[in-house]
Amino acid sequence: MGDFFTELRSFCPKSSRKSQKMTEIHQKSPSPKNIHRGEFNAQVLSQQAFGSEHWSMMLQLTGSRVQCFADSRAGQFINIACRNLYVPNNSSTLLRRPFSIADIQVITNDIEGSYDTNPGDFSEKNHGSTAFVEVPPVKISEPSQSQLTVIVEVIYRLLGKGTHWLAQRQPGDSVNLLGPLGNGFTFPDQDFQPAILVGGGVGIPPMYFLAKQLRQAGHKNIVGFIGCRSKDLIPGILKIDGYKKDEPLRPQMALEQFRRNNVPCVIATDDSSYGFAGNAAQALEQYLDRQSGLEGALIYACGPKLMLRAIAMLAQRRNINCQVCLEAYMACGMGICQSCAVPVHTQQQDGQGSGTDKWHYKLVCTNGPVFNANCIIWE
Amino acid sequence: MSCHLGPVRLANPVMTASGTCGYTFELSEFVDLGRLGAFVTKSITLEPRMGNPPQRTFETASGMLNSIGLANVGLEKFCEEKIPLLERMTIPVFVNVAGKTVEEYVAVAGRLAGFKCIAGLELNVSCPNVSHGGITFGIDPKGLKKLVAAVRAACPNSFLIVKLTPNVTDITASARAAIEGGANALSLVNTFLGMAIDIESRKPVLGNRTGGLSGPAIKPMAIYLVDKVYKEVAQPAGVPIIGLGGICSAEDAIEFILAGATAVGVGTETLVQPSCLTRIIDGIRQYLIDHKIAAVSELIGMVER
Repeated sequence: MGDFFTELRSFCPKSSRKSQKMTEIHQKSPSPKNIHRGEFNAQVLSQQAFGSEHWSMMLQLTGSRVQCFADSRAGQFINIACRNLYVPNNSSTLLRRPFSIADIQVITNDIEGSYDTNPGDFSEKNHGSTAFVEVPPVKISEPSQSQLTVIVEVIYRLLGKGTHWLAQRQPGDSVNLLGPLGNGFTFPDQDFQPAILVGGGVGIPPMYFLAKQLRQAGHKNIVGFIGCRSKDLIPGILKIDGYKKDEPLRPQMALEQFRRNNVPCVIATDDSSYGFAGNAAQALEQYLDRQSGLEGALIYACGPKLMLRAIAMLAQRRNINCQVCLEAYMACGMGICQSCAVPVHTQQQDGQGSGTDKWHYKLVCTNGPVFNANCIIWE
Repeated sequence: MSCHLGPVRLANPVMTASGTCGYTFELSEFVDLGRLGAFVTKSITLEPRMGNPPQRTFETASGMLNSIGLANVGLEKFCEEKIPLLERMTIPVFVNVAGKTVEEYVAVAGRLAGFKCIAGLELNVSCPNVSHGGITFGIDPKGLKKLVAAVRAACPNSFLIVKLTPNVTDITASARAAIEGGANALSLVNTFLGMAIDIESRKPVLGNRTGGLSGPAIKPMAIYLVDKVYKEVAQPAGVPIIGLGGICSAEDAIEFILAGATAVGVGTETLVQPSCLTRIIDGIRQYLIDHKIAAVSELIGMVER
């Protein structure tokens, strides 16, 4: 929480109360650059199903305050209200649902009329149009005096009543969200350091965003590993044709989301319905066994806790730096409710947190969701 | 729209509820805190607390179970880091105080009473998630009276709110005890004890087994208790009530005021949408205009009896 308060001081100049004004929803802010997160009413642009359980939803946000999304990093998330907040006595899905950001696109010119909200053909329109400008991932974009439009993609799995409500939203519907929340991944210092991206299940989408941001930052050596229970459960567009089954461990272009950024990947399925037979950690281990030139490599992982634990142990054995993006049950996502506590080892210099000398809790929503793998206490 | 909690004037009756809005300005990116009637901090204890083992919250039908366990930075760090920020708040600030023993309450309250930026203290005698987290005082009227009297003696000039638990047979006995001990106002109500079980693992969902239920699911029960305490204890004693329990909308807030609340606290919904606080203020104002009512205080306890 320490960082947060340092950040906060810039929000609260001593003598004025106007600093609080900028935060109100729908209110135009005098200085969008200082806004790191907020509440937004986004418009659904499209919904598309992937395989048997996953959906991709494109959300459009407009206004001067959305600059914070243009500056967001892979690993950050949004917290979506899966109900209409403005209707009284409508609270069966009381709490928001967190979703990691799968992609961000910033549109600088007026898209009125030129944007196709037909769910069927969004993919080519969005990704092929010259109306889209690639976002610099790290440096702050030029502040724009005009309205900014940002498109946020989330890929979600139909799991409970919240995601079922979300899947029923039609293009044009409004969805309320908080974001961008959390810290995001830290990039390698040097652009030649190998970046190994490992995603499992719904932990795969943030890897798409990370692949894009690493490419944009000039990183040359990126490879992806994704693991799913079965071929139909891959949250992405599979390009079957480019894949040879007899060479499972040579990363190839098999996922549209990685192919766009020229990132080769290995797909692993537990039921061996596609690619490597086994889980992502096993595939990664075989790769590390055979691959040379991994000096200075970094592993980035997001997925189920058991997978993350296996990846963290593997990284530790091989002495490779590893960042993991954790999932936790959250109520607020803003660092208020203290729900998403995760036990971490207390570092020598980091005596800040509550707890004993050996360990303390950190919050996944604000201290994370990305942590150094060796900080986490894997129970 | 203004109302009075004893000597403390609130620009409107909408307050935050303890534990759902942090220590200071944490929510300032999501809501204009300067527009609220008052701000209530998270519970502060003498020593820092790391809180209960996860899982700490769980969504239920129109409700939320929590067993956070009073995780907080402790009195020292609160005074050092949070109070300088609270000094910049433009609205009245109430600090919520919790403890294990009378001595702990007295130590925390006594220290906080010295700060000018604090308009009053809210004694949490009702946290269900910590053994001896005050609940032992909350369910025993004699112990409660002793506790409030001890804090009153330590800070004779502080505005004291006592937040009561609904997990008792007769809440009016608790209310009377708090007032006799020297409470200036009552917060009604804290969470209802609850539990959820994972039927696959056959384990309790919450790391602490049980938790407190909040959210719209408890609103009718909270309204009932506010109505009862107002009628039987608070109105005769002239002690204001802060009504809490599942408030999500201006309609909900007005219900609490009609039942007898002078001000209202919004908790669980603040965790979901902090800007609901200002939306509720605007909604109450609109209700007053629509019904040609000059002051919100005219509504207090005005349910047909």
